[in-house]
Amino acid sequence: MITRKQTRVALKPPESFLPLTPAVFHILVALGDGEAHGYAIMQEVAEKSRGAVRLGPGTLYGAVNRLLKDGLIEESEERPDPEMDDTRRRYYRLTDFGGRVLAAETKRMADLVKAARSTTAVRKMKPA
Amino acid sequence: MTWSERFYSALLFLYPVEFRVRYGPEMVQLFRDCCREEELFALWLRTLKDLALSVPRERGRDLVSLSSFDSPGRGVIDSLVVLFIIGANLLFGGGAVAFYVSRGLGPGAPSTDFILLWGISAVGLGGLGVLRSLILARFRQIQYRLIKL
Repeated sequence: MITRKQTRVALKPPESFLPLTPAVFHILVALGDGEAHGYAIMQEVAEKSRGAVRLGPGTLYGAVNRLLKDGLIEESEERPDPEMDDTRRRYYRLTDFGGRVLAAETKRMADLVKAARSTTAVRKMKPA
Repeated sequence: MTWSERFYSALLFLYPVEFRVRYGPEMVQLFRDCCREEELFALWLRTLKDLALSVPRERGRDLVSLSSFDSPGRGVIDSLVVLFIIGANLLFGGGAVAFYVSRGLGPGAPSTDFILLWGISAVGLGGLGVLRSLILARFRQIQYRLIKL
């Protein structure tokens, strides 16, 4: 059954969510390869940003709250093997719409990087 | 539970109730995981910075959502109660004015009946205010239970 909220979200184009905040972008990237719980998201973000971004609990769950409300992510109802993990943890995963928003943001950033690389200032610089 | 976890749990009361009920246990769990792997002083510095940034943000969002369309049911109940109070006020007020005018045209000052009527209307309006608060509190409780599910 499609809820009223899902209909409202589906009517919005993915581009209307751009640009994403760094925290939101990193969370969506962390969920890009599959579902994860809060701590796994935090570790994934730190790893992928090479330690540059460390999300605190408040920032992480504030962003998760907004992403859930906007329909970009959803809570996974499947629970892992109780012997393997704590069943009290909540797992989150990207929705199809969230995936489209992530793809749109990635494209926007790629276009931006391409434009920046074509400038004389950047071409003159040698990578460190 | 270590003193750090206890203290962090207590600090979560800075967040809005709705946010705390929904994400509080997960936040404590996340903090516990971090305690196991990070140096405590560095973790607390990072956590305090996170609190300083995220608490005002969530408080601001909570204030905005109180007047938004996030919870249409809450808005409907609020509107109905306000309409009821305005209606009751007009009814009592109108009756009292009519009573005053009818008595005022005759000899003498407003009678004790007039004062009694105003008293009843004031108590009635006060009661409606309390009723409104109770309805809203009950409605929010139901919301929290649904969120917990």
